[in-house]
Amino acid sequence: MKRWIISLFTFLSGFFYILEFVLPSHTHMGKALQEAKPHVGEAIMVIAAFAVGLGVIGVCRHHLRKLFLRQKGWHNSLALLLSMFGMALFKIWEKYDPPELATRLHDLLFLDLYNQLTITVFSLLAFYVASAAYRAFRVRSVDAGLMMITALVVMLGQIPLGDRLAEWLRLPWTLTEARLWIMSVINMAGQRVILLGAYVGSLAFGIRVLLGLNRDTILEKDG
Amino acid sequence: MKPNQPRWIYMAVALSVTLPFLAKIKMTMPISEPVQKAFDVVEKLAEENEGRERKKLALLVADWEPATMAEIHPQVLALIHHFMSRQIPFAILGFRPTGPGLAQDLAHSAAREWNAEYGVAWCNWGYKTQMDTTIQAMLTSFHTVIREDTQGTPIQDLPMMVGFKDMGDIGLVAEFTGSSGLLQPWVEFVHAELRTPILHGCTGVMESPVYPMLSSGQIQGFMGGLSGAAQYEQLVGKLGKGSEGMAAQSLAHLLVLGLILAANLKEFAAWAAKGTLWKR
Amino acid sequence: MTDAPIQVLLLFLVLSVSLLLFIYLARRGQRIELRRIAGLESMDEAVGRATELGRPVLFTTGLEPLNSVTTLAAIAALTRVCRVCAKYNTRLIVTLAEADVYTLVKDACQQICAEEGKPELYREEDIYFLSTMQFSYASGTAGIMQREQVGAAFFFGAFAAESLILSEAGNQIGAIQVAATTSSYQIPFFVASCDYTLIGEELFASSAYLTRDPSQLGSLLGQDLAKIAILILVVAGSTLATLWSVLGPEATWVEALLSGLLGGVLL
Repeated sequence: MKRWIISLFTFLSGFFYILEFVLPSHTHMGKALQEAKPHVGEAIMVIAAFAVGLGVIGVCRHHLRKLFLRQKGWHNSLALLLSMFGMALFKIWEKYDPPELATRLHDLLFLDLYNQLTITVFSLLAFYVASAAYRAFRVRSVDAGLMMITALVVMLGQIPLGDRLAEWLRLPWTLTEARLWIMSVINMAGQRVILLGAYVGSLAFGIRVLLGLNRDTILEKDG
Repeated sequence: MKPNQPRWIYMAVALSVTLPFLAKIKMTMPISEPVQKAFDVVEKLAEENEGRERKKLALLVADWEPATMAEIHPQVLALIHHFMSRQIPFAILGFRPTGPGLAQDLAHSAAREWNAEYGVAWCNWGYKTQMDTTIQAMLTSFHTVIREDTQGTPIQDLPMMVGFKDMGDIGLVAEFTGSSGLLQPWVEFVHAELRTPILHGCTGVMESPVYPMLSSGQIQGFMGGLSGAAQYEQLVGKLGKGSEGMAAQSLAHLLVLGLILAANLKEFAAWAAKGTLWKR
Repeated sequence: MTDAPIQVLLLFLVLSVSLLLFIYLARRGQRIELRRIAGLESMDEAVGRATELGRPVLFTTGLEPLNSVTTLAAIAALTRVCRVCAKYNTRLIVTLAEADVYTLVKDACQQICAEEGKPELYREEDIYFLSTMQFSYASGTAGIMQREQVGAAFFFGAFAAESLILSEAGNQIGAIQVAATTSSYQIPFFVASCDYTLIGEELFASSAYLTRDPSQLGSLLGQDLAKIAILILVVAGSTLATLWSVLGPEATWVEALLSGLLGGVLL
């Protein structure tokens, strides 16, 4: 019974959007569906907001348990809870009665702390790319060799020194032109193929979910 | 890799990126076709606006996070300088919480130079959620979605928004992001419906999937990474952080290529020592 | 709003009918063989290796919310990994970046442990909803991987720049890593730093491959035929466009065919 209800709701909510896409807007039904679409979107937003609330409750339960039971890493949980509630509190306080203190505390947490931390974590990528390149890019086959030459052209084509190098080597074209050709011809073909496969795959998956043919996500016992 | 090797590599990367910035070297580079097309799109809008009583707006969609500031900010600043120099009014909108605020800071810094007044030359519509739904709602009932700016001023009270009816009064959408999936709704809904030119700015790593969209005419130009920013700065005539960053980028690229070469030479030497080089 | 062009509707119909037809045929007993996908074959091996080392397994579903088919496909793979972990009595840690995914995964893991007869193996504190913010999620997952010293890590779903942070964190602790993503610009990073990488639609095929469910196998065959149909359109369109540029505007029949074929499909 539960499976039927879930399948029905899944089908109806997906079918609404398919019908809205398929039916021409000059038909009575098509026009009605287009007018209903923003309201359905708002309903989805409300459901998503509840899901966020559930997530916050889950986070609080997990970290409060760690804190009260003084489990390993409880101080990290304390930092998380303080910053989560502090950020929310200061922003709400600022909205309704904006003392300078609330703005300053919010900016401290968001602009001075959070923004700088995300920049720092992102900048780790530069180091990881270099170490991954040293570890993994080995020419062990013809394919790998071709890939290496392509990488060389693309990387040098992206910097001013690349064209100066091409001039010095008296190449018939600049590395910028070579890079553009690789990106807009070879890379584009590869990207289109991957995208094509991914989109057809996602269409198929979507149809299976819509028609309840995908059991993993509904998680009903077999038999 | 031996345990100590990553540390030497990390040190080399840190030095190769930091030292050129300390030296403040600005480098110029050839202009690539996607960036030239992006520049031409903005010039075309400026020419269309000449002589018009009601100028078409540009929409600057700020969808980046602080993490990608280093690559996106030079692109956006160069574009804002271009808008202000050609007197194209623009509005900032974002579907990431941090985007509109960061874009506003850039606009303020450029506005001082061009004496561009808020509400006349530019404004900030702020952060919105649910991108797909909001964009579609903007197409059908714009004024129910965008009611006031970030300062609480009703939109219709801003001088640049007087007489603004709907999305047809927007002449260009310039979407900047370091994430995926944020460009597609503008292409699918706005460009498909109104044929509004779309300009894109992204991080270097996200360039690859954008080429098919440029080739098929879904977007009209894009800037990729710091090199895209440096090229646009050259076109606009205001060299800034993009051009400064090219020296650091050059050195870092050469370092990575050097590391790859060193690793492969080491491997070839090991095969040669084993006598298995030609069996590979 | 622009209506869907007739060509797009026809294409959608062809794709859907192809999928449903082969699902039907597969359910009726049509035998379908799949080529070997190394990454999927290695999943059991990876969990087994982590079990031998006495280390937990980590699974993460990427950045996108529940309404993304990529995330749904990742959850399908997660159920398989959870089942294997339950069989081997191996601890499974799941890190998530979306609250709605968290609620589904929590229930899924609990149900699977109960189905395997090991309800005590389910630990709610091992399912983490970290943050919707990309780098908070990345640093949280990397931190968990390194503190818990995971033996195997599975990165299934949509990833952005944090892909390399996650996979390098796994490399530093010597974990066996399997990645599967449709984010085409992150595939190179995963290929460089993971032991196995599934590219694009192989993520969607993972559920069919692992369960050998006839519906899903039939759907895979339908997808392949749908792709052949699209390729035929691409070849036809390219040929007509080439003829059009060679023969010039006098070839009105070429123009008519091209407009009919492509019509409103090109934006």
